Amino acid sequence: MRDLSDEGLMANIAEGDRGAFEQLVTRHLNRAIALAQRITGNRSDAEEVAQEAFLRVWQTAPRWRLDGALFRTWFSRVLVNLCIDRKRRPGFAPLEAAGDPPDPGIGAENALARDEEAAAVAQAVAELPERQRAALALCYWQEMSNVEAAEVLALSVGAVESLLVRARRTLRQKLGPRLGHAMEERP
Amino acid sequence: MTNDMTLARVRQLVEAYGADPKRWSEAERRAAEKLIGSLINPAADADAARREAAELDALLDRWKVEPPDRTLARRIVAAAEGVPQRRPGELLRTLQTWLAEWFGTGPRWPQLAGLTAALLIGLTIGISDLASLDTSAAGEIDDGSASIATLEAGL
Repeated sequence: MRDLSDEGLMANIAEGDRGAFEQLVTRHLNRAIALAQRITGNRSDAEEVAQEAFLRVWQTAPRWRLDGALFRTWFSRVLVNLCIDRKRRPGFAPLEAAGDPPDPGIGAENALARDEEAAAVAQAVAELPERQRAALALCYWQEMSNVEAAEVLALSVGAVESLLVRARRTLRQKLGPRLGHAMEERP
Repeated sequence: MTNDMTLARVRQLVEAYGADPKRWSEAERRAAEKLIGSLINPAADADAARREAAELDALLDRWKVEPPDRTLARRIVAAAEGVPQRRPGELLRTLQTWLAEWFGTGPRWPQLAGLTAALLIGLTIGISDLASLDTSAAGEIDDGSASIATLEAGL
């Protein structure tokens, strides 16, 4: 079962195979959390969305049909829709501070600057319209092709490209003063 | 595709997907890279666009998302244990079971006759209620008009 494709695992899950479900969860959980956190801007929401999306996988597996679409594409669509629904709910939790814990190998001052930059990026992304945010999360951080991202967002490739151009222009404006600094420190 | 590729399109790719060709449109990546490679001095605007995009990319890369706690996967799998799977045709089967429970397997005409009678009685009561509602609503409008007429007469 170790080498089964996602679609093969889905076929087993459709038969009620909990081992296959566990394998699929383990395989996709990190990506799911990363995508959800970049769209919702909030860790606890991201975890709840991921859990809800995987439960939907379990529930709908017997009715899931390949129809030419990859599991990853379908699952990303479920995640993106759940994230957008959650952000539209009243009482949505505000953005959390983003970024990794400071790296002990670099100076404390640099680590602080990196954390601040990460938080500024997270804040600027959170302020983007939801579809621009989703397009950027899919194409930039998830490194999904424009064709696949278009399928996830149910848009044309041209529309996705247009969302990305607008998102990046806005981010350049908002993050302007920080732009050169990150480039200089890049390994 | 190479022949169709232009510097303007390269600039658009950079503006949308960033400086790294691995994120560019797969259908155009090769042609775009070939075009850039063929230039003795890359055009100033395309070069500037890539530099600007690389600056933003470097900043976007700062936002890293930590992997989840190992227990999360276990919690998700455990949560699914109590959740039933939705099988194709499930709704139809539920309806069939419900009908079988209601009507049983014996002769069905007494139950059908009872159901039809109940429906007819319900419809009759419903229609007569609607008629009385119409009358009372018309009465309320008349009352309002009368009040306005009284006020006007007073003025």
